[in-house]
Amino acid sequence: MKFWFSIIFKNERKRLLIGLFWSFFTMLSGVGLLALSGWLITATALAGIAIGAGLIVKLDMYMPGSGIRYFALSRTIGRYIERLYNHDTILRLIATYRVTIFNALSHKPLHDVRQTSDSEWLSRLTSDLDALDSILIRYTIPTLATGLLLGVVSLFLCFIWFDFGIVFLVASTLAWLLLILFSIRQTRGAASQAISHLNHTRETLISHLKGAFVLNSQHLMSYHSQDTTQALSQFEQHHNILQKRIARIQVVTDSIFGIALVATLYASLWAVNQHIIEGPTAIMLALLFIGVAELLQTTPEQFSTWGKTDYASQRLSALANESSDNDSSDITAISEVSCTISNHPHIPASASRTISFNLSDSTPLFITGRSGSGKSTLAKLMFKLVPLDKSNASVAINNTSVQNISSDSLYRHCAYLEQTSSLLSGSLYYNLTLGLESIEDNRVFDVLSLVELQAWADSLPEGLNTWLGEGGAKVSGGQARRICLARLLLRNPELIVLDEPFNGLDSAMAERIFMRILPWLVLRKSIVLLHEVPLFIEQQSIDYRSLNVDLSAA
Amino acid sequence: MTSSTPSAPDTKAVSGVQFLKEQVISQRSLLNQSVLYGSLGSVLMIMQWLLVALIAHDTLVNKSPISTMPGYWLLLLAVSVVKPIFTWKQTNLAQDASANVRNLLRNTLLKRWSATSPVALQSLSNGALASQWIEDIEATDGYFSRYWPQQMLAVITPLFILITVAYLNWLCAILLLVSAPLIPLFMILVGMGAEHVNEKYALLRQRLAGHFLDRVANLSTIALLGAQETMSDEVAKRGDTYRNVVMKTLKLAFLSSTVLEFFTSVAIASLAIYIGFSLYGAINWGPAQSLTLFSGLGILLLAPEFFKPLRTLSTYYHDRASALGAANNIVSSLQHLEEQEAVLGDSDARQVTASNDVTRLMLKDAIIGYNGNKQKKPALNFSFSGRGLLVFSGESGCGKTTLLNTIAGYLHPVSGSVEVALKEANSITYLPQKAWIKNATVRDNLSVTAAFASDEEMLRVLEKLELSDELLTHHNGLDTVIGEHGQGLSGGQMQRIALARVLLNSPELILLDEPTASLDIKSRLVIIEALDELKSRALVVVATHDSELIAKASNHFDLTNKA
Repeated sequence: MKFWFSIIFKNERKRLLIGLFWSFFTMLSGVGLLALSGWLITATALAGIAIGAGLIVKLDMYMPGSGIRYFALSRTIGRYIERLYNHDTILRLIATYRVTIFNALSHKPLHDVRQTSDSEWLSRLTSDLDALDSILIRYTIPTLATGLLLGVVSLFLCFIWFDFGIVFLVASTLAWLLLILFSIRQTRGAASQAISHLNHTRETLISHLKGAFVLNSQHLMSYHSQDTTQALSQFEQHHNILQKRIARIQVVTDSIFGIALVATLYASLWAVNQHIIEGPTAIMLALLFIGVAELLQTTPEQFSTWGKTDYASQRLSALANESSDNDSSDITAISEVSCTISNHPHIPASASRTISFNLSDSTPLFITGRSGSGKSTLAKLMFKLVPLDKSNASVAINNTSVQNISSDSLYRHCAYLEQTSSLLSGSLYYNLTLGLESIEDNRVFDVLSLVELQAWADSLPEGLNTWLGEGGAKVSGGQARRICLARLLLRNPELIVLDEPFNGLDSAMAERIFMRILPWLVLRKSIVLLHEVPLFIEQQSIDYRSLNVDLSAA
Repeated sequence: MTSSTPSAPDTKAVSGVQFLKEQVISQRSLLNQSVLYGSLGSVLMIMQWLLVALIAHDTLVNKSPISTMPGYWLLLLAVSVVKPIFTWKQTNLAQDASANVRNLLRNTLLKRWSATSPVALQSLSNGALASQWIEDIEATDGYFSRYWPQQMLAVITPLFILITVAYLNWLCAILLLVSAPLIPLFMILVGMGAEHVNEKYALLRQRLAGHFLDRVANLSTIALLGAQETMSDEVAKRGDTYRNVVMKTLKLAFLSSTVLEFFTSVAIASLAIYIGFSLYGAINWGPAQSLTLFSGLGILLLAPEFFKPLRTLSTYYHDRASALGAANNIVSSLQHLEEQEAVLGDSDARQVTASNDVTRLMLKDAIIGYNGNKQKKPALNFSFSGRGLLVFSGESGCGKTTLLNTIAGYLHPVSGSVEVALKEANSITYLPQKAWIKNATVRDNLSVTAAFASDEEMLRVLEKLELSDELLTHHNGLDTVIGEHGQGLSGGQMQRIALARVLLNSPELILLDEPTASLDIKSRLVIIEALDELKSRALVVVATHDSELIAKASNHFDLTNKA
């Protein structure tokens, strides 16, 4: 959690101090209102009796009266400002945390990130991030403000009755710190146990659901769900332990403060008997104590989430701190691409023969094979989307293994159309120009006409600014494919790798589009991965080379 | 656990609110007990403050030495210690009720899913179902363990205090009543404001999280396009915009609780001043003259407690909102499942009959597919009896998997009929294209569908599928942990483990979807051989386009040609 704390102190120190002030101001007003009211009532009661007895008593009613009105108002206003201000801070802070994690993730090697794209991991990421707000709004601001309040109240007490002030300071500070430590220690273990059981339960359930096709055919679904219910009851048991512990700490705390209140009242009334302090002051002390105790009594609840936050922050720190891509050699131009694969587990044909190619000119290379033959793996190896194992594969650009080329420069010089179209939720223009400096609309329309999307884009309600839906949900598979292709056409890479560029397009359209982008393709080195070399390539007598990676091909 | 039955997932347009209320009914007695203890706690709280006031009065006004009233002191001590115990009971009981509700809900959902066709279940991602089962149900906790009891206490406790204060001084009671103008109205006001804000807030928050997750999920695309820097700025900017919008709403939203706060403060302040002036003798009309230090201090101490339950309730309001959101999710996913099941067609069209002699599979004018799907498929007619290897081939998308799903009973024919005759109705096994492997040992993986198989039998089957060498020499044999967290197996090895389950089980009808697609040569050969052998023991139905497997078929249908 240290890492996340340090971000608060580094980035938001000023806001933290101001937020702290308002928090303290509100607390003080609340305590002050109670204490002063108690004093006033007691003082007036005693004065009233004295007057009734015929004595002349002078009591200034107006000063404490306006003091009370002031505290009433300042508490309300303070609370409002404090809530707003600290909410703003926490939103800023979480935004900073989010960017920190995003930057860390985006500088990790891609093959690491790849494994993280499942929805379970992603949903955990959100809840982990949410858990971090406790660091500020539970552990930092209220704690510091309470500490400050204890100090100030004790100082005030010292002026009134020195001995009591000292005892109050020592006892309440000690009780408070012990309470924090005790709450953390009692709940931390149970909380992280509960979370890890929760995650286990989730995994068991997902595994169970994945087995639905197998289990259902044999009517074993209910029977097999026992695994899940067992995991669930383990989680429930630990969760229960945690909740019971928190409740127990709370009841002990409340009882102790109840006893302490009796002691305080006794001590202050004893002091009145002994003529150390006046009656009204005694009541004020008791009420002051009630006000402070009310704040301290929230400590167990506040710190009971420590284990959960700690668990989340550790997971996120692991993400944020993991080693980044440090292979730093850059490439400036591409003269040669070479690739040799043998015995790669995901490229079946490489078990029986070495698959290799060498690309040094701009004649397009067609790599063909059925689905499952490992074409995509080949492309992913080139782009470091799957880790390169030197024992079964070597992919080099200008004789430097891609492993040693910095991702930045690799991706700047080489473009890759992945087999599955991936659109970000954003507008059409946004998706097309991602990562590019500002591009004029007519250039965008030019490439859209190459992929036969110009008319469609014109017909959209907001043209290029039309939102494509979550993950491009509002476009068809064929349109998504062509948008992804157009996205690359706006760039100027030296090497282009297209994995099944015409997935979801009919063959006539595939031919038209291919012929239109051919001039762009032959300006650079290109590799096209397809099931088979299309018929029209032969018919149009286009110059090409090909490599078959099927098992049965020679 | 309570004896009440889990409320059946009655999904006829049940709203989230109704759903939660139904759950409350099932835990009524625990929740009522919780409220009872809360109310008792309130009574003790009133006693506590009155005792404090009484002791103060005695000492300061009557000038009696503190040692003269040990009874009061002991009583105060007892009340101070017992009150937290009542609060503790209140919390515990409500938490138990909530735990029961969550347990019931989870078991009900699990049962519902077990009874649902895997094809319908597939339409909701496993991750989404899991987060519903875990997070959504967990999110209902606060509603039962905090909000609901507090909703009752927010009426009961102030009422008790009002009665006490009215007994001490009726004018103060009226002042309290006026400063909280009709508590229910107040609650509705606070509630409505909070609800509105919560909804808006939740939506914005969801969008922000959605944006972030979308970008993280597409990190590789972003990196390939060299857009990391741009995206990092975008993530920061989105966070900023979100903050600005949220802060604007919060400025208004916090006002409602500030109003509550204001009334509390003003009420305490004016009570204090009124009591002060009355005691001083400056006010001498109404009940002012009967005020003493005891009643004055008592009222002052009780005044904040009058508002406290309301304030607590308003802080619990987000518990209600998140429970409501979760309940809506659960209800709508149950409705979605029902809709999906409706698309699967009429369950009577596929029948499994008991047959004494041979296994038989018969399709009569069967049109396979989803109800309401516009694409017309031709009707299929064929019949196959006895054992053998039945192969369906055809281009991808021609409906091979759909046909297997129909034979398995996960999907029903749009029209016509499918008849399966077996000696035992349960004796069907389905192997999907992607082998299902649990994160567990090989033994656990095998015993999932073959609970009574011995270690020897398992080893023999693994040997036959040429897995035993790999597992015995390199790993821990049957104790080898496989799956995501264990030994990584290749696709072919996993497919062979899945097939091992079938061999241990020897069902009458075996359905396999593309068992050899994208496998290494060795696995492919082993599987083809195993299937070739199985065909003498069972009716093996395979959907594939593997020519070698087609060559072994006793009967081969090309679904493409039928179209």
